[in-house]
Amino acid sequence: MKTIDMRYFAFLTDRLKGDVKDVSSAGDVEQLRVKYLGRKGLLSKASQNFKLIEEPDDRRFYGRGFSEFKKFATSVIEELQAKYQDEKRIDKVDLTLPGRRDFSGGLHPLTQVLEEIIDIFRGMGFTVETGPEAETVYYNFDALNTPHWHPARDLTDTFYLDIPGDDKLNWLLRTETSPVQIRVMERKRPPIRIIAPGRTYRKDKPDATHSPVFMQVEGLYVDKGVTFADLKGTVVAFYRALFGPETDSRFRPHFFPFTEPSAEVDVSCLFCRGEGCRVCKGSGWLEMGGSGMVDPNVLEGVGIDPEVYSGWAFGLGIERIAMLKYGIEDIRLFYENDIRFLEQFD
Amino acid sequence: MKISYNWLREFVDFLQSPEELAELLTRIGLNVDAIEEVGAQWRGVVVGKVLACESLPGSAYLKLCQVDAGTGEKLPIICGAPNIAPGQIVPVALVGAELPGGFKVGERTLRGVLSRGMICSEKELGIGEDAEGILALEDPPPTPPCNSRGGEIPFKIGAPLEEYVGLKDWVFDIEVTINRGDCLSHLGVAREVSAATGPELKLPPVDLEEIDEQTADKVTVEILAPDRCPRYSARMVKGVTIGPSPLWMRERLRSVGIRPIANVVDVTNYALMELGHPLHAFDYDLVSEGKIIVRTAGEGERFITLDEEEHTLTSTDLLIADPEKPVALAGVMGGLNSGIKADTSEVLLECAYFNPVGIRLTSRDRAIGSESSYRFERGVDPEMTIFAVNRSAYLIRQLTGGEVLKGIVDNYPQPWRPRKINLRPGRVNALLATDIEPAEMTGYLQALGCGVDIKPSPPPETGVGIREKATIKVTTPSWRHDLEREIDLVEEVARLHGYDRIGVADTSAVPLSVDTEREQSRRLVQRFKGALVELGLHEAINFSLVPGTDSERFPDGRQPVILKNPLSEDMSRLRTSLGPSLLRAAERSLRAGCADIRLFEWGKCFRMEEGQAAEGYKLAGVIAGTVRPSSWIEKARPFNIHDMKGMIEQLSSKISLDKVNYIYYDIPEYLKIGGCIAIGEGDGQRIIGRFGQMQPAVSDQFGLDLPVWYFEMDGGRLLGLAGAVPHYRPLPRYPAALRDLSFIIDEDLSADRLEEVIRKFGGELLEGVELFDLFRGKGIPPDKKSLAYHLTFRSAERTLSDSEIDQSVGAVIEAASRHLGAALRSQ
Ligand SMILES: [Zn+2]
Repeated sequence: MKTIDMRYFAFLTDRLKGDVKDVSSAGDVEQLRVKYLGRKGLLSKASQNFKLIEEPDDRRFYGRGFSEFKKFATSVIEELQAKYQDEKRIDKVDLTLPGRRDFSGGLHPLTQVLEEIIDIFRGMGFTVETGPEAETVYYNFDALNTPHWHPARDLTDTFYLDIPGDDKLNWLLRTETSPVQIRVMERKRPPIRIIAPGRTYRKDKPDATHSPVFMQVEGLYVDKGVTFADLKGTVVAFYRALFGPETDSRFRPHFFPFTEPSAEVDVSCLFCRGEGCRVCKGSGWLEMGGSGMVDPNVLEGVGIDPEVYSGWAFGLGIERIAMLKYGIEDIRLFYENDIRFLEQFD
Repeated sequence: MKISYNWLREFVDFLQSPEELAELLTRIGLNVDAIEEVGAQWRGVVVGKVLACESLPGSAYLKLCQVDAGTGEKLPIICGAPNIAPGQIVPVALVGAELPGGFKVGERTLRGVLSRGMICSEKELGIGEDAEGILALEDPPPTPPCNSRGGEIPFKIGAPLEEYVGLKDWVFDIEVTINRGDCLSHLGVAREVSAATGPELKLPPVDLEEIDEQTADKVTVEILAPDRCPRYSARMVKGVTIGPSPLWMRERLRSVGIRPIANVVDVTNYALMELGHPLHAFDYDLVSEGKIIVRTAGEGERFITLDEEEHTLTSTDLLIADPEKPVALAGVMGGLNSGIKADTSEVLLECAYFNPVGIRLTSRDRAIGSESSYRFERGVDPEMTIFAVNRSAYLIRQLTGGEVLKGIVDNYPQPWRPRKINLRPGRVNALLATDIEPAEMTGYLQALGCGVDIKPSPPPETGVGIREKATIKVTTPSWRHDLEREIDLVEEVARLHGYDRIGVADTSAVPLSVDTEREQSRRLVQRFKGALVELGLHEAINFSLVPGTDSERFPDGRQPVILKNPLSEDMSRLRTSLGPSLLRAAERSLRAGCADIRLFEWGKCFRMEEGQAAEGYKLAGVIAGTVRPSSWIEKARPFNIHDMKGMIEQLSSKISLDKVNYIYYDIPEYLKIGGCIAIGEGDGQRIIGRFGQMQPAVSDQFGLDLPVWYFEMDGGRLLGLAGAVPHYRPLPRYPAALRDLSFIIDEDLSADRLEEVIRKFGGELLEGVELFDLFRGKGIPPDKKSLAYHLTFRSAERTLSDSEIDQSVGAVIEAASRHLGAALRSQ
């Protein structure tokens, strides 16, 4: 058991009197207050000793000393505070000076947008899947029901890899993330509900709206009884979550080899709310991406009976959404990684 | 595809305004990208009549005209055109008018006479090349022979010029998807409008007034490649006079993006835009014996097309030839040797159906394309050849005064057969979540030109157990090559029913989202990125396509994957390392004025491995500049190698990498100093990354002339090793005792050796060892250094006594002396 010096408060009183002599500014007063009356100050520590004293008389004695000293210290410090109050008002610290900061990093805007999109889909019950960027013609075109004559297969549209011994040009850089859907459907049986985000490649010369390397997210849902109305429901809900509850979606007939019936999805312009402006070229709509019911040929190709199961798929470009969201007009900025650009999204 | 609003109305009577029509077309899948107003370029130009015309006093050629421009007064206008005459109907630019090209018409005075306006030439109006004389308009205006409502066009003096012969128009720029070759014409688009709105489709007139002379007596057609050319129809028109087409035709062609040339060629283009079926006109005299032979080209056969390009052909190319020579690259372009010339008098018209695949190959391999090949590639209507050739012959007769010979030579070795497809209405409604009656479906399909026959059916067993009440037996029309399967018809029904009438499901049975390994990896990656962001780095995302010079400038020893058909040398291969792109990004930012670089990237890198392209994730970062931002408070010191190592240590701890150690040999060529980050010990040790200062020779090559720090880690290994779950250690209950020790050791001895000895001999009471000072200089021999450590001792069971601690400290001092020759530095 620790011994308690009953003269402790007398000692503290002497010490405080000594300390007061050294006080010469409001800052010193504050230091003194913290030292004696602060949350971790000497008084607070002294109060913890109460429980160690067993003799009731000793406790009483100690308690009296405690409260007397507390009163003394409080009055001394209040006096000093009053004395230095004026000085505090003309404190020499200029808080209008900029503060000291450390480097702060940040995620790339495309990552931020992608994460937001993934979050929304996760909330709707989708699982994230990924796949290779160097793909085969089979996964990128054949299995996706792309006709042999389709121009997307041309050397002018798609990057092929120069693999020694591969004279048939069997390897390419995926032009969309749909090959992931094929790989998943080969591996799993319905119900399947996935999104596939990732990098894709097309042989477009870089300019303000084109980039040979870009990012996509595609969604796929295959199960019994999946309908076009389900597609519409999910797409509408997704864009409302992304762009706000007042966002309208429009479905226009279109052609994609992978889906039939196919639809291009437009959303009501975020800037003019459908009135027509420069961004939407006066139409009131912004083109967002393709969608449709998975073509029966695609399902058959992966051994899923299209008479039993049906599904839908849809895709969208991350850069396009990031450009709309942040008001960026040149897609190349995303891949230049100029720190002055990146800093704006910290 | 450009589609004219007025032209479209010749095929179908619709009531929609241009804006409404655009909306309708978009809704059925013909997306209207833009609407252009034709005629708007002539603001202030009206139709006027020259009332009188006299020489301007003192001028040899200027005339003073009195013009009625519908303004209620006679306008005096001075005009220099030689062909001006009283009574003419002319285009008059009123004062204030602005002509194409920006010329503003104002009042002016010539030789003391006021001129109030301008009588325009074709060139001034931007509708032709003729600048010699004014454009004399016909009265009444000539109506296009195709125009069913021709005479009704309102026309009066003072009317805006664009209303004259119906030049006021709207042109839609329509995005036609690749499967809808049938919509690449006014007829095709009109058919869609008709199907969507109701009014019937009307075909333009073809009154040929054939003469007795027979086409068959002058022309023979032999098809040697019937699978490439299933049909070839030919007709003759003789006695034509080649010259410019009338204004209405020139303007129509121009409005849909075709440059008018001369009447016969213009007619074939006109019919192409109208009906979607390409035609070719030969000068009959240049086709030897009037004999057309359709054959494949010989290997290496040479041929010069109309555009004066010479092509070397192969056997995949199809030619139209006569017995002596090729005369056209079939379906793509005619030959220079047989086209219509200024003195052509007999025209041989070709209207054929070519196999799309063959045309596509030729067009791709010869790098040549035309309005014709564009349509043949997408599939034209094989049943349209007769009508198209007749229509062209009719227009040529109208425009050139030629005579149409009797009959058509029609060689049709492989006749088209309609496809028969069964459509199950229940299936349609099941996929679309609709409730469309079978009769409604047949209505849509009939409107599109399909034959339909509803058969009440014994329920065929469909997998989803839909009970089908009927089956619709559909035969497809000759222009819809894209209708092959039941699902294609489902789309047609959905399209005409309207996508917007299909419901929006707001509930859905959701299979549980499975937390796969990929999901876990994704969360780990988020953690890596988050840790680096906390350390003050910005995420970069660079192209994965890089220049070939990267592997020389940044030698990482990996075999790159090369592109067969790169866009440019700058993007000719896949990156093997993230370093070069990060260095380039750093250079860009420095050049732009950023003093401090802190960038990282998480992304895929590629390499050849066993003859295959292999890919995997990497994490890398580049740092240059100061350790913290410089400010008015303090000028920050430059980032150094210890900062780099500290960053790696902090990163390792933030992403929960266990048992990290560092080795300082085998560092890559591109690093000047640095180390490898390893996990585990002994045989189980795995190198997962590298860090250090770049060789100045390497960073220099990327334009960076300041010290650059770099780190790189293998993504796959990180994903396998990081993210260990921390194991809780009970918080200490007894106080720690601190002792400081300062050793003097040989300069060559590394700090980790001393620390290792301290830890080993400090015993189990030694809780922590922390270096707090490294000193060289006064009081220390030149080949020595002093290292000072805080040693923390603690027991989990008791408060330690001084003697216990002294004992441990003594053991440490003794061992350091014995094993490393370390001396205790006197205080
Ligand atoms: Zn807008």
